[in-house]
Amino acid sequence: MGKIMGRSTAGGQEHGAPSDLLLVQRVQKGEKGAFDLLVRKYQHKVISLVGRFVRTPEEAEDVAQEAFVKAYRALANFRGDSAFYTWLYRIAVNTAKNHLVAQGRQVSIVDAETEDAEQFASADGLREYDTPEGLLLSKELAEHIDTALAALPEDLRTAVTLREFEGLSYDEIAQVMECPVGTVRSRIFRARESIAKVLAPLLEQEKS
Amino acid sequence: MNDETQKELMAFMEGELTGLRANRLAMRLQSERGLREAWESQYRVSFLLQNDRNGVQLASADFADRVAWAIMSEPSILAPQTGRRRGVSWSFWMKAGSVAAVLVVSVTLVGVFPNNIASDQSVARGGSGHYATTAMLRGFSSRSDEFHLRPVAGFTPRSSGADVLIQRDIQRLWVPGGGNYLAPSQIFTAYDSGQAGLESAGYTPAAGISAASMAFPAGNP
Repeated sequence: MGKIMGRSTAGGQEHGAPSDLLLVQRVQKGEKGAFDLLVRKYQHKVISLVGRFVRTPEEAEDVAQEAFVKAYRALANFRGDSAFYTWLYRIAVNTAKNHLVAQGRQVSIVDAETEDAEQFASADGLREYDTPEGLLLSKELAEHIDTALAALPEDLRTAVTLREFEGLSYDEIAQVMECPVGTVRSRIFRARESIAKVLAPLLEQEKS
Repeated sequence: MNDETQKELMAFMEGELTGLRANRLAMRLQSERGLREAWESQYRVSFLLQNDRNGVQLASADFADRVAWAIMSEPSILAPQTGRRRGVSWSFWMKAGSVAAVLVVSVTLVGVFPNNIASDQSVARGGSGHYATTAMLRGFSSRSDEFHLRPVAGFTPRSSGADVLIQRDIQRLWVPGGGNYLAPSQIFTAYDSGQAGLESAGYTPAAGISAASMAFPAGNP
């Protein structure tokens, strides 16, 4: 398999809503550690979402942190009427908008309704603070990911591709690959671990 | 990480792990750093695979730790606020309901078993102090759907909540070895409160059944 250019992604989809609810219930019983798991799960998506409103990556992280703290405080009111991530993205969008108002700035990005937060989170488009360096890193990152994918054994690559780019469930992948669903889980886990190892140096470089 | 844990983690991430197994894994994720790092890494790579061409921003490595630090100073959430909002009325109805339930059962017993405590007279004669609670027993009648109340030993009720309220009201209505209700002006201290038993209660014609902490008097029988 060569480079996977122009691929579609399952970016708008969220999996594991029942587990989110379980973690929320644990937080509602006083276990802050369960909220930490939710933060680790959604941190990248929330920061990217907020990043469409603000000017710098640092500002995006500050606003995202504020959004998570607000979400924690409001979690007592969360009853599971909507999915947790939809509720969280709504808080993030509102926090970002309030931040801009407090700064005396206008919402210069698409003034998305909060109901569209989920779609907005995965929409393509440049951020306000995109720089040539940032774009270069993005291109380099994409190349690294293509390289890492190409280096995977066929069964791992197929499983992770069906999962991440086609958005198939584990059961659907098991049917396509004609293997037990447990094998699918294991293959996707190992594929992501392999890719993480390849990307680690690049991500370290970005951090520095 | 062994293969089984990998599969469990993936199933949990997908929301396919339920009940006790899901809670057990959540507990492990909260307490095992290695497992938590795997959880974070899986979501990071998944995010990158889905968004690497969208120019999105990845969270700093210490972002989650900073949020955790900020959350640390927040008070713990102990229950959904909706539950707290209903707390007062829920508590009231719980107590009122328990009293009503005891009254209904007792009235039924009076009607169906006017002399239903004969077998317990010896117990009552032995003094009331060692009976710490009450329970509903079946099998005292030839009819399988009938039951009556009697004190039993060796059971420690919960120190609060509906159990104590119900048992206290049963105590008020139960007269060991005598009639179904206390005689007027009879005062009894049948239970040892020092052993998590029922609280003392009294009865006078003027005040009805009363006790020091009785929030909702059962009324005059």
